[in-house]
Amino acid sequence: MYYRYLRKSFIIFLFSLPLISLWSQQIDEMRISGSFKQQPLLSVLNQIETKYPVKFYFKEEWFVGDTVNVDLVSVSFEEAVRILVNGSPYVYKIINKNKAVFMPREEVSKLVGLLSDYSENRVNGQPFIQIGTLEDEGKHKNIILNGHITDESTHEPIIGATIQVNNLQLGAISNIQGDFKIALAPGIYTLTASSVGYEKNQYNIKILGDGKLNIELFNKSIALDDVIIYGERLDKNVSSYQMSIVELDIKSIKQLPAISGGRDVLKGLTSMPGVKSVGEFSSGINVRGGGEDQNLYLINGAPLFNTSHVFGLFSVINPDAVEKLSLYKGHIPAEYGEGVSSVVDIHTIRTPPEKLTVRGGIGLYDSRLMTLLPIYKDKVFFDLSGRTSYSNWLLKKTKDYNLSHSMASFYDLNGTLHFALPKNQISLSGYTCRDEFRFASEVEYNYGSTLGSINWISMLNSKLDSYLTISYSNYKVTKDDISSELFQSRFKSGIQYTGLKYKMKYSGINHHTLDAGLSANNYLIRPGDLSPLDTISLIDKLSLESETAYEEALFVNDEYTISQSLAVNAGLRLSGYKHPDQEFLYGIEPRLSTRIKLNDQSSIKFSYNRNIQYISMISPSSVTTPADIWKLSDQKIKPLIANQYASGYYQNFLNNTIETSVEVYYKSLINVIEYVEGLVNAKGVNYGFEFLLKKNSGKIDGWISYTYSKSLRRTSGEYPSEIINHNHYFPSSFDKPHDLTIVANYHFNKRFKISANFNYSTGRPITLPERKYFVGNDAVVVFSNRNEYRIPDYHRLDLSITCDESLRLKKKWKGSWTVALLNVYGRKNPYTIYYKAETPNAINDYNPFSMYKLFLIGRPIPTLTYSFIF
Amino acid sequence: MNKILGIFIVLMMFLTSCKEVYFPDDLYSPDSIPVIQGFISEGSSPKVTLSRTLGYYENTVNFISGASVYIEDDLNNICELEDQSNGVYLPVIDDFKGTAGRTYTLHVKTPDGLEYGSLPQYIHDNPVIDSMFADPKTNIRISYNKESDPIISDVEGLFVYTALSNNDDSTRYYRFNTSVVQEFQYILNPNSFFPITVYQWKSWELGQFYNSDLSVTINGRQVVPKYELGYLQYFYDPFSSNNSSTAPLPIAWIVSLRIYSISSDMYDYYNSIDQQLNSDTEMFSPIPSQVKSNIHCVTDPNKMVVGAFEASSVSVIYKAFRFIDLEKYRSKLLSNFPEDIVDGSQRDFPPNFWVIL
Repeated sequence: MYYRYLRKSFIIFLFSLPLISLWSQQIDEMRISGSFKQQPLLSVLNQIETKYPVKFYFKEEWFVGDTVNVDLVSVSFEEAVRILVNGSPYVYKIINKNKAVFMPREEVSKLVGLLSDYSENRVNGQPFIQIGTLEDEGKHKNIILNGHITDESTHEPIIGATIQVNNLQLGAISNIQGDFKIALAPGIYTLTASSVGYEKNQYNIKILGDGKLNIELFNKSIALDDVIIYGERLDKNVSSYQMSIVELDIKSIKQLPAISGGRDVLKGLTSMPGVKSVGEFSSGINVRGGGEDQNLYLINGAPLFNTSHVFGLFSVINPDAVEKLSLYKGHIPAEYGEGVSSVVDIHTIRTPPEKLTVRGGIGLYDSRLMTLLPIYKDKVFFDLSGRTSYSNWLLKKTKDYNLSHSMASFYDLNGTLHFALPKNQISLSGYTCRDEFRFASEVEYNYGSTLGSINWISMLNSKLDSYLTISYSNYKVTKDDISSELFQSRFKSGIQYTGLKYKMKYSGINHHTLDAGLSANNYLIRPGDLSPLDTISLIDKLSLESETAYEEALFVNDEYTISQSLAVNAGLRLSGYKHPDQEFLYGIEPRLSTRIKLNDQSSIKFSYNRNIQYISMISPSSVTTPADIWKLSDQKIKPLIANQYASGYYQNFLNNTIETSVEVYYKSLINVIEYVEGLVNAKGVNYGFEFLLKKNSGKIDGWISYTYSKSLRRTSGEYPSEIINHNHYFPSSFDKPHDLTIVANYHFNKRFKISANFNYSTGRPITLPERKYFVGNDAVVVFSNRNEYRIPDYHRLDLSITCDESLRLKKKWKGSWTVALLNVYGRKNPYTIYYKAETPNAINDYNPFSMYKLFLIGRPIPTLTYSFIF
Repeated sequence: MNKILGIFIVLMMFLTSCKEVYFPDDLYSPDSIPVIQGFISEGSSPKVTLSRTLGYYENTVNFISGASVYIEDDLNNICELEDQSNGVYLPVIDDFKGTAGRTYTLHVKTPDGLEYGSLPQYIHDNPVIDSMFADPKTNIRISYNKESDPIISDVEGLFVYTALSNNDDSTRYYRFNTSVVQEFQYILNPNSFFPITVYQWKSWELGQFYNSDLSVTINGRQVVPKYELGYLQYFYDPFSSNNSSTAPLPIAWIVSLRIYSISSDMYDYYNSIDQQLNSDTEMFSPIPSQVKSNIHCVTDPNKMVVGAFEASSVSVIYKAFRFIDLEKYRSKLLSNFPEDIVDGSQRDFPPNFWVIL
């Protein structure tokens, strides 16, 4: 109806033009004055119309309830109109200097070509942005708007931001690179970009043809980082088809108190349901009851075979270098293989910096530094980050003889050269890390990894992208046994990986996003070379034969949005494996995930995954060590196969500021490796229930996660050397039925924040001596069934206070201090329990042997960390 | 700076791993299982001990009485053993001896009706001991004072080795049992008119009872060229003399070495015991496994039994050593030496076994 009203008015204006010209001189000189204190806008407009030769055109219902509080002192008509509607969602057009036509802003977007005639309402002062060129006008029915959204201060991409087209049921969510796409007809629109922790921003755009829109959002808090698990922002946890995924922005990891003040990316993952670790200082993770070797860790597409420094004290991943980490613990997309329990996909910084940026931190035992260096505008830039420890000189100062003759040091270094070309992004990445560890004069370990990858993302056209990754990874371990002069030896082992993956993504079919691709990789394992360390050593040189194998795969995947409520992600991976000692093996790995949206705040999801893994780690202990050996599948060690079924219910509250989810899963495993007198194949069953409650904003934020799970194994051998627990089910080393984590952050103000982290979990299973007998004078024990007992339950509370130095965004140097107290009440959580024969004494109650409880943090530990960025 | 350093060191000490003796509350006391330990060596009569395992916190051994025990050789000769007491079973007739080249199998039937049998055990020829020798060297000794501060000192003494070889190209396994008797001499009331010479001796087991073999192959023959038996520390402090007594002067060590030639499954048995007794991997302890036994339950293979049956040949060598300095030592091969000598002393004249170098 208002269209007819407007057009009617326009016709009247046309006929009135000659008369208007006689008034022009008078109207030019017209000044409006009046004092309108808290008066209804409708009344004010009426008064002005009565007093002055002017006319206002609008729908009364728009201004019902609106009031104004203004003083007009001899202002022009246009100025008076501007003042009256300032701050309101209305635009106006002045016609013939004495007529004003009002219209709501969002209504104007439906009128092609008229918006440019309307004034700018100065709510945010943004002009219209033209997408495409004038030559494109009228040539296209549908346009793809490509966008990129970044943080205004750090220029990092904002992942998971929502871009909504006002008044249309259209929108997009930014992806890992901060990119988004929206299909629109040519016209004028208003986009609203928002993300938790950022000020909402609106953009008026005029679309003529294909083009790109860059959006920047401003932080709400001006200096501190919010605790955000960004992957769950807004309603993504409800609306996304993907289930059983944890996406961590490194900002959230910074909030967790970490051992020795350093932030640990993998430790952050263990606060989420379904993700645990074997011990307090273990950097490896166990996902839904799976072993550490069942996780595929990728850094920029290259696999990482050892994830810990100093035998688990730190993880090898420098948190400053990480832009995003995605953990797939259930539905693993078809493009990923090689890990049946999870995929940890880590990407380092990819956003071009505007200027040189340096970020780092100084802790008590290690320090880190990260540099972003632009080389040529925003087209070529380089990032380099490093970390090193300095514990050796501290060890030398200790009184303990063994410690003072010990050594523990590490470093890691990674860098990437980026080329951001038109429609192409190429990055050359490298990573290296090294550990040296020696205990007294007994044994010395040297181990480290070298990774390299080339990633090429190409936008072939507006609907088709291609992704190419070439990767290399090499892990080596050297162990020197120097405990006996006659038998001093050196043992070396390692694994080398080269791989290629190519994928194409097509989004040209409505409601479908298709992925298809292939991958090929080669493993080369050196199981062990033993050699004498000195000429007087009696050790004979011995080498185990190297083994190599090839793994290939074809994969296809379709994200299909059937309706607003129903979405399906269906994928298929065909994997092939060739080892010289056996015939070609192949596997069919379906990957299926479904989301049924019940309403805007809730959904249910189902998934089924089949994964095949052709490589395993041999570890005779329940804790993985850097010296454990990788083994390819062969005639004896068969490929590990997992089938996982999962379902979940997701419910958000209070405009998605509170998120809850409940997931249940069941996973069956075939050909899990267990260790008796040698390696045996076993079956496994893992099942569990996971609950997550998360609050994303406000004075208090954080999350509560609880997991109940079981992880069981069973052998089926015929001979005693193949049988564990009489071939009955027994708990695996990763079976911890109850796991509770509470992370809470309280923001006193914009500078100070206090954080608390509490964790409780059932003790892990262990085998203990139950009986004994004597051989001569020595007591020999008989152990219980495998994993029949448990170490005492684990629980620990950490607290920290963070103080940010500066509130002013523009200050060049920004620093923050974090004071933390780990293990607040001094819980002596056992890391393991072991049995040892020794001389009877008062401490062990005069037994010829003892059981010992080993704990690594036995008292509260204060830490202090200074972090900076400039 | 020193204060800051001290803080760092203290913080570092916080992170040092700690351990406590652990007494689990929920340790289950399952039913005991039979312990069968049998032994026959070349030229000796067999001996079998039957008992039951104890609970982890128990101390009283329960022996098995009334069992039926016999040993059979590969010529179908049977030696029945009789319950003597305290679980010890000895031959009824004493003419059954171990013989090199024969194979022996142990059979036991316990009073509850279960039958147990061992793997056949072959007795090899006696091990050929080429020599026992020493190497004067210093060694590092770590002790702690009452403040728990470490005291590191260099000590002098002798590393003792043995060398042995096979007569054929078969792979052999050995068990080493080394005992030492050390002789001392000192003077009581040295300044008196009638000073008394005291001859003192101490005995102990050197090294570990369960030693593994380590051999190399030279010209097709298995040779153990230099197997370390242990370290004999020389200690003499003349300044500890006083008016009532001079400082004890070490005279000699007499080393008695018994080398048993055993089967591969007995080697596995002793090796697994050795691993259990010497396990010190703490953080990265391997998943515990049971000590391997070469005895199984014939009646019910699922029934557990521990212990082992050893049939072996043995060679013995006795040698005396005297430390002079780090450049030289004296030694003397002995034809025999008494077994099971306990600590003691006597005055004025030395005991019969006394060796002077």
